[in-house]
Amino acid sequence: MADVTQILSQIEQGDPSAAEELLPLVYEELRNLAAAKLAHEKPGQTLQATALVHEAYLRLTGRNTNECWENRRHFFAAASTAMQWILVEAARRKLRLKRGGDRKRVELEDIAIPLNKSPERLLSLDEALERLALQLPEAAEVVRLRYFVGLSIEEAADVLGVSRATAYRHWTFAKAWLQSELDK
Amino acid sequence: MSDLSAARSIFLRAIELGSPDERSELVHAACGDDSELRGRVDALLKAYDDPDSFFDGPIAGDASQGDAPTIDLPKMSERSGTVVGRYKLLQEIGEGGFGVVYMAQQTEPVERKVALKIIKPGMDSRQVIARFEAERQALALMDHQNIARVLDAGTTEAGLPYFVMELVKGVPITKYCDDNKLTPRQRLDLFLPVCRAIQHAHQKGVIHRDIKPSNVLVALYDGCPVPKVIDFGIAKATQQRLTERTMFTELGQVIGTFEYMSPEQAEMNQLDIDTRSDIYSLGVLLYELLTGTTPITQNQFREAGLVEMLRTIRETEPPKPSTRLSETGDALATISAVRQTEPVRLAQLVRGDLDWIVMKALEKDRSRRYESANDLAADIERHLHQEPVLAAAPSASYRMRKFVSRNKPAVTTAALLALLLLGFGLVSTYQAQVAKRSETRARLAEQDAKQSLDREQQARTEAEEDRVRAELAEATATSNKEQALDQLARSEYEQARAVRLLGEPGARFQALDLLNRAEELRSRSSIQAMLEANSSEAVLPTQPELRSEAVAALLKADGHVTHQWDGMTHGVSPNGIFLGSLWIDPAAMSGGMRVVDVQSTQRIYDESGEAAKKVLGIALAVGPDGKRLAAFQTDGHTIKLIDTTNHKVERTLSMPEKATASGRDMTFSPDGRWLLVGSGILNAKLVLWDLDDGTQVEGKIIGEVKQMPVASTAFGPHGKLLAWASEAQEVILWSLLDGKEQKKLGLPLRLDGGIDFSSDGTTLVVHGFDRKQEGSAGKDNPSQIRQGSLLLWDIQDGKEIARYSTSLAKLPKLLDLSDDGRRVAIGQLTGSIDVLSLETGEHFPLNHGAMLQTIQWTADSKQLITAGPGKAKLWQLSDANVLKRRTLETRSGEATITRFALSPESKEVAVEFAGVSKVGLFELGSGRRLTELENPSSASPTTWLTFVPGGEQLLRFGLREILLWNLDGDRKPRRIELKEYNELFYSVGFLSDGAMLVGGQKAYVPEVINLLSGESVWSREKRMLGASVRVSRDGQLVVSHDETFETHPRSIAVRKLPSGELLSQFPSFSNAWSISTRIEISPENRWVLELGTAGPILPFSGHAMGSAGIVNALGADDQPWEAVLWDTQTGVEYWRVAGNSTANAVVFSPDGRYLAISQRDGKVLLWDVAAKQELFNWLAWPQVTSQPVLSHQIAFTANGDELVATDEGSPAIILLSLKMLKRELAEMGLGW
Repeated sequence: MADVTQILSQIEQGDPSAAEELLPLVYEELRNLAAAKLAHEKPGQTLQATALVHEAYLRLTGRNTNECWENRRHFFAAASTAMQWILVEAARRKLRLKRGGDRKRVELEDIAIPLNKSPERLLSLDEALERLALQLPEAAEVVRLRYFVGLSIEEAADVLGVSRATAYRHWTFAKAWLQSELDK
Repeated sequence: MSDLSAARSIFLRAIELGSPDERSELVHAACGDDSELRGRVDALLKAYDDPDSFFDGPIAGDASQGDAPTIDLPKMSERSGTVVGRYKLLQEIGEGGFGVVYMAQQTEPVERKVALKIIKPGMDSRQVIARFEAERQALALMDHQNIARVLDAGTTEAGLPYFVMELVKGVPITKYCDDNKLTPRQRLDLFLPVCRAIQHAHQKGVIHRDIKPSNVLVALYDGCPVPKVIDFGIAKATQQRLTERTMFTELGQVIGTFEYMSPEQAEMNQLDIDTRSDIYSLGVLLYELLTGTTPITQNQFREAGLVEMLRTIRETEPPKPSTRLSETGDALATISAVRQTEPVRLAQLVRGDLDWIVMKALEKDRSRRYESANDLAADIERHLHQEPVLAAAPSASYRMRKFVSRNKPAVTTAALLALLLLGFGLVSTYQAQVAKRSETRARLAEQDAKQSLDREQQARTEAEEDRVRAELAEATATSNKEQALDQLARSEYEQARAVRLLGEPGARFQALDLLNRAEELRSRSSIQAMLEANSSEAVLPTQPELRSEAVAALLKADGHVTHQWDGMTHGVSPNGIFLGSLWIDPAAMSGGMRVVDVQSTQRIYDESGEAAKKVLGIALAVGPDGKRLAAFQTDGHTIKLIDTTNHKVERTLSMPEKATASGRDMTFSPDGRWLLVGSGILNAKLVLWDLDDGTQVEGKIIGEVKQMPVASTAFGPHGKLLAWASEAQEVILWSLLDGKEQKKLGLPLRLDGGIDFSSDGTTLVVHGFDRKQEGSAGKDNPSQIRQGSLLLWDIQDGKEIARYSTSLAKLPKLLDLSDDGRRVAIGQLTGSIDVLSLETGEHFPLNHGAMLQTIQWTADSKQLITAGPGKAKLWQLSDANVLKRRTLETRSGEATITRFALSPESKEVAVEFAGVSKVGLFELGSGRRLTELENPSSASPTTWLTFVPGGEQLLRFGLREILLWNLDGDRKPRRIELKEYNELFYSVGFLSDGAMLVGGQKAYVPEVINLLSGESVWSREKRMLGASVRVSRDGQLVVSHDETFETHPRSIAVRKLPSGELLSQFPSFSNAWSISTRIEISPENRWVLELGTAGPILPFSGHAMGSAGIVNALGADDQPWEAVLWDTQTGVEYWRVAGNSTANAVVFSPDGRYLAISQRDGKVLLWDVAAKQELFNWLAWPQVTSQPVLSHQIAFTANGDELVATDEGSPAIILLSLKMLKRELAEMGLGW
């Protein structure tokens, strides 16, 4: 708990390298949460990306995401990336199972509960996002926040510190660009 | 970057506009001639308009839970119950390329069910409606039982155009036929009314433009199948132009439409569409009904781009239906079955009349098609009534003309000739046949019986003709295939080159792969010999080309991923043999752990499902033998040790209470005895367990590291020590045996975590930043990337061994030194990795591509494992041993090497630097400075440096003087002036008695003198033209231009020394066009090489007579050169070689086998003289210079294994290992 608050305040004080340190922490918390839920909850339930992120925030800072907006923006920036990894990893695995990489029967039953999008598409999206991030990092970040954290465009704008109009333009463009990449 | 930004701004402007026309105008204006940009923007707009966006709906989890993102793009699809105009939508009944079709209820003026088609967004509704209105009158006039009437059109509230049609509850005609297994005859019966319907529409002035199975529905009326043509007028109204067809359809639908498109519709400018376009589409439909496939198949379209598809439609001549049937192979059984016909019988049925009917409808030239749909129908009826049909096999000459025009580039002269010869024969027999047939026709009424005979004969002629065509096609195909293979080889080669020049990570391996394939193709090519003989037309890359490219790729330090594992988190065993991975699928609520052997990729442990849930960790570590897996539990304070051989939890450890912060990393010690956990991200606690002590449950806190991950700790090799960077500048050495801190090391670096021991335990390797640098960069600009340093530190003596600079940012580091001590991999959380060679100081970047948590060399030190969230990767790394760079231990001012000489055993190198009055002697293996020699002549030019054969003396040849140092003696320079000689000296012969002979010319008279005594040994006693004089290294021969001003032709003479006896004589290179610039004698005096300018001398590009190793090129332009090798004994020409840029240095390998010539363009060209083979060229000096660079010197090492050159821009010597290159290239089939 102390770590996250400390890192967040370091970022606030203008130490950009601190943001790098937030990422492993958030990633670990998310994966911790996912694993814990897995161990304690009944099969058949699905985890929701957005809910996971919010719960992770609560656990790491002891605060509710609805309060103290300033503090959570950096957290969400890290969480969007971490969540993308988690989902992409899951998609990869699913794809491998589909191709018969694993033979365990139990797992084959597990995959009956699908990601809402086909894993191939999700992986393509992941790759396309990486490419977009190389050229227009801000636009890619809007997509991540919108998609993997579930923020509204307005909230994403606040996280990134850009105007809402800019965020909308990013979103509109990124969506079309990603779609065109996926259609290739 | 600018590209995407530009596309972005145009796109954002375009979507503000409503109509496609306005958009298109804007895009056109904004993109100008930039078709690539235009393509990008178009794709963006297409995606923007795509209603089936990937971004509709949440990415994971249950959509109904409401928290998931939704899309704010207006959805086009209307829901059931919506009222559109006078119609109430009931249900969606179909979705086509450009719209969605609903069943709808009309309430007034009559109550009935109708089909309502809503056009997808992206079209200007007003224009669509206007075009529809224009044709409305004509549409209203249509009244035919096989046409579904178009009733109405309008605009929805959302502004989308819609059409209302008579509702047809039918299925596409092709589906109906197959479902009901109609025979060919029944199919024709069903096709005829379709023709009549089209004829009716044509008579009313309506062209359908989009006839395809989905627009010809078959419905049952009173149990009878009745075909109905739907969608009349819609293609016109929506004015589907080519771009729109592609824009508004997904790939499958594009194909669906394109297959029925007539050649004239496939023209880019398709203004001129008439009724015959519909005839073509009817032909396609008939073709499909008979054969089950369209004339141009989906496969032909699948990989093609738009332009290629259109070209195919316009140009590709489809096979006759009967031919297609015989080609379908296995599918024929199915196709026949749904036609209730035996496979053999089906082809027979179709062959002949039906072939010609279909092909006539499908003529590319519409004037050759049936003039009307009725004509088509009539011919089918004639066939059904066994009457002769109008359609006939096209004449042989017509078909031949078409054949040649289609295959023009491919048909060789020979093939053409053969074709013509055969053609004449065919034409005459065929014409006879035609005459015969018309006669038969005339008597048809009374002589029905003869008809079948005629048919039989015609069939035979056709069969013969087909056979000839097939043979010709096969011949052409073989030649085409050869050419295609050569093209492919060329393209692989070009690709390899492009990949290498692009230089993306992994390029080296990719390029080598491509070259390997190119070589395979090259070696298989049968016309290789022919092409090599005529190199100007060579498509096929030559072996030297491939080798040169491979050499360039081999010299690139690089790494690529050879295997990858998924997993949320990973743990690598300390010896780099095993990888443990944990995976969780949150959506599926499943997870598991596995351990793999990295080299064999074999799984040695795999647990998932319920069993895994009990032990599933959030961090993993694997023991050195792979038998023990440590899993940090989700409770945050216990660790389960799992025996991977029996899947049992062997022990549970617990974290001390004070170390429960989030963020954990674990590792085993190399001997497997210790387990170390780092807990927390900032000021992480280090917790240690002695696993040999079976009683220890709770871990012991032994220290604190500033930042995680745990890689910022290192176990010593003998299980005695553990080291970590405690505070920013201190390394703590912790004794595992005593259980306490042994020593604190203060290092001259601000450490950033990366630390490792050498495998003998004597040296620490750490990464950090220079303290001064850090201070000066200050807090004002914290994001500035500072140069990092890697430090090798002697633990015993407490002093610095070496320091290397790295290019990584100031972030926590992971570091691993390979067990062989040759390389260090330094990584940081962001995924960037620097691989540094401790031998050469060279480094190259890799990128893990995601957050990095572990970095570890494999046990053999050849591969690297990187792991982090999502993936673990195994990298194969190039070993930079083909090229070595020896940085010389220089003094200040010693920056540019002007000359160097290798000692006889190549252990030492003597180097003269520009503007330095000393000649340095260095050890070649290490670059260490041995000694230095006074050089009083440093201000005047040197031609070359050379050691005497025993190595005890060094000679420097300068302008009319020679310096000589006795290396065994006082090392003082001895200066010998040779003032009378008006030439620089380039050769010296060493006699066994210690005498040194140099050759030169005094007032154009060639002479050889004894250097030490000054005596003349031999003289020609005549003035000679171009009087170059060379003495062989053994002092036995003198080679000189032997041309008086009177003699012609000019010649070179080889004479014995000191007798002057003529051994051989041959013509000199010099003639009216080119001048001789160089003479060289190969080792053991086997060959004499003369080098000259190839072709006319370019202005200002004369080559001055050069020194050994150097031809001083003076001009600004590149002057191609040529060289001839003569047999010294016989004077017979042995071989010629050439190059395209001004020649610089010329050297033979000590055994005389290899010849290397450097050029001004920075390349060194290498030949195998003994095998008369060009080997490769090596770009030793990549920087382009317009001036001749005298320092571009080359040499061979004494054993001939390495080619040595000066480095570009640094006081270093580079060594290219020919031995290793040869081995690497041989593996690719490119050896010599």
